[in-house]
Amino acid sequence: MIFSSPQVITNQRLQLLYLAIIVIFLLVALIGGIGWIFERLITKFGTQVEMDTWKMVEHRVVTTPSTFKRIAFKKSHRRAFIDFLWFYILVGLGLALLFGYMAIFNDPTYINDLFDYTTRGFNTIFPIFDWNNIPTNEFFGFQLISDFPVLLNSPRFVPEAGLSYGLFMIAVIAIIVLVRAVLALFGRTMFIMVNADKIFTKSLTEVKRNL
Amino acid sequence: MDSLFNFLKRTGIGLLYIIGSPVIAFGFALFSLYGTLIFVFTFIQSGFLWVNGHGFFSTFQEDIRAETKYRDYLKQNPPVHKQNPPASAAEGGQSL
Repeated sequence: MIFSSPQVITNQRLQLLYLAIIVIFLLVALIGGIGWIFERLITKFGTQVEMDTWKMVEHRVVTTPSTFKRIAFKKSHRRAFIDFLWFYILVGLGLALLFGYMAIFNDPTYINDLFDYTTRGFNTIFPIFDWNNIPTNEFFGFQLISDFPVLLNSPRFVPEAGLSYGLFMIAVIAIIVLVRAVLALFGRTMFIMVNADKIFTKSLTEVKRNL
Repeated sequence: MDSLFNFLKRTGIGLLYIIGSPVIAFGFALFSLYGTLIFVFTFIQSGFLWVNGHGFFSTFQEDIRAETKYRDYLKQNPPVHKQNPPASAAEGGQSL
């Protein structure tokens, strides 16, 4: 008993440590996977430049990298304008709904309650944990999390928070639209920068092959 | 073995993403700002054109020339539509 008791505790601690390492490893892999999706999206959005300029290049209307860059960037900016227009329409819609409601119903405090889980904020439909006072314990000299945090709010539907839920949905869609617009702009810009010179030059390997 | 290698490679890249996340966030903010500036300038420029009776987006001269050349090319080399031979022809002309 004297020897077995501490041995068990050590094994449990080791198991916890292994579990933590596996979880961290999987989390890093997940981030890598999400990054891969973003990389693919950036490459896909880069091909929009091809769609906009292939006729000019194929029919020798554009023959220099500088002209290609000028036109490709202008076309990219037009696409960016439309992408960002949707984002600003959503932001405007959200703000119009919020301030319109506050003005019509003479309710100036609604803006303060937008995030409040205790009254009529959109957080009422989410579980809210007390992360600031999460239980910790000392492991191997480190203060590590030892238990789940206390649940401050159980998800519940509050009819008065209807507008908050609507605004939250608009905000989520607006963020997705913004991320898409930024990735597309980045993808097109990178494509133009990388390929502008390549399009009008022949690789020496290809020249040698055709000799 | 290949998939395991790819998984480990992805994990390594994930670690790089975590380390480089401040730079990524900064780049994202920079491109958001760039996009916003493009939005404002294009809005003013195209709005000005639109008010003066032109289209919101003017057509590029290069686009017009490319389109003309493309149509000329299509006139000289009309596209050939390949039709699938009937099933009976594909089987040596013998219908079942």
